Amino acid sequence: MKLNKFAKTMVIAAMSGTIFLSSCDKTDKQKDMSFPEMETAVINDFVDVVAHPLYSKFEILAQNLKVAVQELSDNPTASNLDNARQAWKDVRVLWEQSEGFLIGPVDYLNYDPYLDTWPTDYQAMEALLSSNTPITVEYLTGLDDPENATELTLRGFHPLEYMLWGLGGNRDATTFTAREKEYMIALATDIHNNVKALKESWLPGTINFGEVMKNPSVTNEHFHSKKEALEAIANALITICDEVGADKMSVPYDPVPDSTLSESPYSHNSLADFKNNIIGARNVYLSSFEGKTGKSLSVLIKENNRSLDNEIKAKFDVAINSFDGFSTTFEDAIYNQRNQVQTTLDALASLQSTIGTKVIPYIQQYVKD
Amino acid sequence: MKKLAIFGLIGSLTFTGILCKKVNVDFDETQYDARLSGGAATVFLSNSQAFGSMIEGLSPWDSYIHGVGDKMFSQTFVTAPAPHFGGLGTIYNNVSCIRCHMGDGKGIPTAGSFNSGLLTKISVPGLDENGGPLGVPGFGTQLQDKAVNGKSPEAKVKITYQDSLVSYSDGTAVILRKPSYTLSNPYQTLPSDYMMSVRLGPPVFGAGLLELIPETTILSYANAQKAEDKGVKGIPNYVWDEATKALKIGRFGLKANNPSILMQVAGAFHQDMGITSPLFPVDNAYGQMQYDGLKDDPEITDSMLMATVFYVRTLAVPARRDIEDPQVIKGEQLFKQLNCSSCHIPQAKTGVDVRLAQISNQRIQAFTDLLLHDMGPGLADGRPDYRASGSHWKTPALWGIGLLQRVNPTAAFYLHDGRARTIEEAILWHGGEAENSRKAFMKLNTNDRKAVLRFLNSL
Repeated sequence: MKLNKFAKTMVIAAMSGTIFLSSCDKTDKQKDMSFPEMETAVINDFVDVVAHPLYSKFEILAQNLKVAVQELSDNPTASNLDNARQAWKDVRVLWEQSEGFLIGPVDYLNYDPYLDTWPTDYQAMEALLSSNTPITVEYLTGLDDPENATELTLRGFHPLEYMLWGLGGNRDATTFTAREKEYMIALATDIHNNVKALKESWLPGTINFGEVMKNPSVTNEHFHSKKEALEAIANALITICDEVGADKMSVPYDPVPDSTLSESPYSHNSLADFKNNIIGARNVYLSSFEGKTGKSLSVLIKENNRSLDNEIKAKFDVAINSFDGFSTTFEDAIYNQRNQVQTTLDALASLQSTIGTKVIPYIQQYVKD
Repeated sequence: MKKLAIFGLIGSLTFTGILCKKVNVDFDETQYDARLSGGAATVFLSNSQAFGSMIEGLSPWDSYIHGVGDKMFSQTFVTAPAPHFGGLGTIYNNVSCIRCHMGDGKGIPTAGSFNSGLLTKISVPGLDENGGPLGVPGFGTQLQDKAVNGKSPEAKVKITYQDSLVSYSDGTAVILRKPSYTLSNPYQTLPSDYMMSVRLGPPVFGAGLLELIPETTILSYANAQKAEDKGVKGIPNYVWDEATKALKIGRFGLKANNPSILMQVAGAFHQDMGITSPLFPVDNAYGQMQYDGLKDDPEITDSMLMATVFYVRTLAVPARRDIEDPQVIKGEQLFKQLNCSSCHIPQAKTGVDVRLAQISNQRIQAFTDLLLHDMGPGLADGRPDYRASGSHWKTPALWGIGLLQRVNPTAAFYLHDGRARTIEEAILWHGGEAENSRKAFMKLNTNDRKAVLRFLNSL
């Protein structure tokens, strides 16, 4: 058989393409492990690469916040107030990123409401501050008098935010009263105690939820199968997209803007909160945290549907990058940059829809054990 | 002449019954998918979110309202005056719906804590003007055991448990815990003849379907039980409906003491949280020393109340699981043989709702007759509630019972006050009209008992 020059060129191109595609296929499809092995690796790496390291860093930053608040109390200078505020913002980054996977003890053991109940109860705070009750962490948690434990609206990040910034963000370091200092220290201690307990609940010693996730079985009360564990991870992504889009951002924005309904109204940290929520979700999707990566939902999806994986990654990027389009605080943007708010809401809705309508069905179709 | 012919045709059709007869669209029983506990309002979820899913296929507007109601259901309320969500109390049991219905399921059987799911009904002998329980002067018909700063709770509820051992003939033993409830630190003296009923909030999903079971269906259950004459003799409750100012058949509440989702939700806002609404616009502490005197009522708008009602109405029922497992099938057969299904009636047909096709005319598997039954002295609270006596309890729906542990591992408790920690304990508490069923269950061998429990866990 004689081939003309064009045909020869095409054959060579086709062969080289085949070789190229084959090698690409081999690399991308992770032929070093079977699909069921990959499922296991995705769950294990979610625990080891994302959850454990994140909770560990979270606890360190909560400890830093406690120290910063103590220093502010001991020496109430503008500089120490700035330090305490920064420590609060730093620990919020990890908390918001951890909301990318509200799975396990943070949910069913109530660490979420312990740390992040909203709104703050001004009347109750003022009543507490003007009373003679010693404000200790034992008092806040009801350890010394369970029947008269405070409501969760008096605990967590937002009352401390109110203390550090005040209404309008104009708190002056020199104006803290002894009672307010007492309250701030109790709040920061309570936050640290909860974050420490949350971290430990995933480790050997107590609940060991990390191992619970890694070992699905019919006798596992949380996850009967790997499919359920993977669905839980994917559902957590949907939950946080919905919470940010349909709740945290929409409520202050629509139908009438009201900045007092925003998540962190005293510190004006809301945009950072939202962005970190979605970064946290992307970290889960990519199994990535602080430069380390592992087998991920992304890899699992790419195995059978490369375009879906690309679509999700692109939508994560669009949603996260949309937060950079704001040139002001969220509390201002709902009045003055409404188009930008809508752009972000649309991006989040699109991302959430794709995960809900394509990722969950993908898991149900391909994960059999 | 043509007109006359048409009238004649209609007349003859009517006479022969063709126009009057409803078209029977029911399938043969074997044609139904047994997994569809809620008919078209079923969701295939068995994880921690199994009780919190919106029924599928709602319009965008209905989905939006469901979402608004969802936010209200999980919203924490705070002390008034407040920029948002003020109006808590001044006396209350908890700060949000979700704290007592965790994951849209149950709460924890404790009182006074942030996640306590118990509430205490109280009354004195006699009837109010509508035939309901007579409130205790200065306390009303529900005890609020918490108060905002500066106010006094009406009283505190103390709970203690005493263990007792129940043994099967094969030697297996189960520990039951019998609760005792006492009130302490009342803000004023309680009369000596007060009666109390401690109750744990039930799961809220599927309420839209239960609300649509025709009254005639519920009454037919009572008539059938009476005719069977096997010791099971359920009666319907008839309770006051504030919305229509009339007595209506009771469907919700542990003694069927609420006629509708609207009354259930508005009543919970009012009594459990101290939040006034257009249906109950007067503060629950009005006339008591805890009254705040603020002119802020109603504290939630009609639209917020109705969105919350719509949210509850449109929560889907989780599908059954493992229905082809031989042990589950065996357990289902035994469930019927033990006559459990006389009260926990497996199937029902909902009536028509022209707004929501998903809950309209659905074949559901709620496992309830919505009737009151005398459950014996072991479970009695001694406090009548409309037609319910002190030992009557409504047959609870069993759908989703096998998922309680998964929805919230810390809140899987059973029976009206959460005294049972397992489904098996709950069965062993059955007395009164269910005494024979309990005894028959106890006579089963180990494998058969396991099969019954496995079946219940498949619901």
